[in-house]
Amino acid sequence: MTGNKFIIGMILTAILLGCMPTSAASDYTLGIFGNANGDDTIDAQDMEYTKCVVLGLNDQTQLADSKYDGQVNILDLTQIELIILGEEKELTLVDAAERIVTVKKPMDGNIISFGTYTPEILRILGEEDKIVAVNKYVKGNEIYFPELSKLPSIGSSYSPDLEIVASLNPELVLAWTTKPEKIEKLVEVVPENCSVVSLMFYKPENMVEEIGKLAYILGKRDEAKSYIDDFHNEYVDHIKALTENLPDDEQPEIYIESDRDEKYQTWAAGSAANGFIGIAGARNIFADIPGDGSINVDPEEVVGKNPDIIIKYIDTADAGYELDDPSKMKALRMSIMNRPELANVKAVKNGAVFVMDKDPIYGPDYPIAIAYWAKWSHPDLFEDLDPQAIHQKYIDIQGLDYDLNEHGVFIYPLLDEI
Amino acid sequence: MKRNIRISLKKNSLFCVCFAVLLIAFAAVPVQAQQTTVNLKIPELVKGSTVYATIEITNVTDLDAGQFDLSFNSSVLKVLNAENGSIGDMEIPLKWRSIDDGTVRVIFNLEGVTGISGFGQIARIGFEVIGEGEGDLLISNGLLGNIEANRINTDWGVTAAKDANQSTSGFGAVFALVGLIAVFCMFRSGRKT
Repeated sequence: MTGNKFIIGMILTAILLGCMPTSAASDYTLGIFGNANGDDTIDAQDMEYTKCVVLGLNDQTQLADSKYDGQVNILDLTQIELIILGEEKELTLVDAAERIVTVKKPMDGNIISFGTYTPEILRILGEEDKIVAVNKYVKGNEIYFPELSKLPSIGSSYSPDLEIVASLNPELVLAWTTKPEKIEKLVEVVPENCSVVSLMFYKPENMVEEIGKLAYILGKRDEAKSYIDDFHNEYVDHIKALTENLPDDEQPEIYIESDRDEKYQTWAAGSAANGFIGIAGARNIFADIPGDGSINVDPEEVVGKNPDIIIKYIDTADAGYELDDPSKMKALRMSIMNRPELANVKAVKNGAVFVMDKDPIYGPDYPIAIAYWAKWSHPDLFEDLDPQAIHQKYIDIQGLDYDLNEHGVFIYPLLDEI
Repeated sequence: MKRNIRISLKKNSLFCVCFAVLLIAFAAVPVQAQQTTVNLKIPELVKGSTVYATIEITNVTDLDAGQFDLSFNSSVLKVLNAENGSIGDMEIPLKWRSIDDGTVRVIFNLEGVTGISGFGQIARIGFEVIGEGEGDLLISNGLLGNIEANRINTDWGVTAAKDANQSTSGFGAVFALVGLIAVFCMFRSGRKT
């Protein structure tokens, strides 16, 4: 009798475990319909979860409706199975503009990339050859995008040339905006069989999820996993592990200043920069200001907050892959050190003013920036971390023939000059 | 003369009508053969015994998953278990649950997405007969899905257990044969006149 009770208990436990959502174990929810349990992937657990929804044992989640037809039933089970096997005919997901988009699969046709970071992701996924148009920044960057810079330009991501977009017969347009109304204008001009999906690849907290979404769309999950495991998580997780439990008084305060001509333009609580600072084990002195865009602050506020470190972005025209001479970075740093109002700020007094090229800060290469910022914030903690080696590894992932020991200026002062 | 023409016309008309009926019968047979049907086979209920309601399927193509609710009179029947069915060599792995006193929900999803075609048994639901009266067994909310996650057009309406073995296509063939004999006989009698 006792044995029977034990077996029944085990069976019930097994059923309940299969039915339990596992999102608590994930940092994010992969926003693809079929991710029934709300974790970071679509796998057999989603099938089990959906079975339990159909049987009335689990609450229905929005993403359990993998066929996106308004009801959860056994057809969703098969659809999840097809997604797992990469054999689905359609895939529905939530894009960066919070639109629910259904894309036809397999996706083999032309891709137009609106974002600057998107082509880098497509290179990671091995889909560079499908790109037929890029934005003007990619077009103008011959060293970093030697092949893609030869393609037609759609202009800027914000005001694209819709005639060019329509003329290139795309099957997938990867927009770069969070505004649905802008995307709807695109939808109007593209062919009927073309999907328009917005993915930003901008904020650190969304990076892996967005790469995952594009990988599911293009059927390139192994390639995405390789980048995520061997590059992104390799460094970001390592840095996080050393910084996430640091007490506040061991986290230096950072003031970040944009590369624009205006002085004292920085970023607030919801910005990508704020996220980078957090991972690096530091605190943004303007983290108390809401919003995710840039903000202009009063110099007196910066002085009052007395940051330990100042990081100044430099325009990509004055640094980066195309230059070998750091003189402009050096001059920019001196101009900050010489601002009279900052003379008594800790960062200036201690020489903790750093200039950094924007290129490796945003996009899938952001672990490079995190590594530099972590090293500047906690030189002892990250004594063995080599940001330049991380940067070189990323360049190799991108398939570029470029040696950082010989070319490029990305930070000033160099680590060995501090 | 006129009488002969009238008789001839009458026979020709009759022939045409019979021929049309035959055509319809022949046309209907293959269509019915493609229709997936699910039959609920209900045993005789004897109080105190254990009985099994069998859910049978015919003419299914590329089946991958399915679900249905089986309702019953809970004052007569008490559900005991649900046993996996099979189509050909493929076992149908069931999951089931009592969703209320008089309803069980049964679902299945075949391993992989290769699917299965043909006929067989989806499930056997075991009941203990606890009372007297009608079992009122009825399938509802039935849904079958194919290997592309699309709905399979299914006739779920058949509950006549004892007739379940009589296949639709066989009935059509008998009907067609009878029609053919009738036309042949008429044709012969027409020649004699």
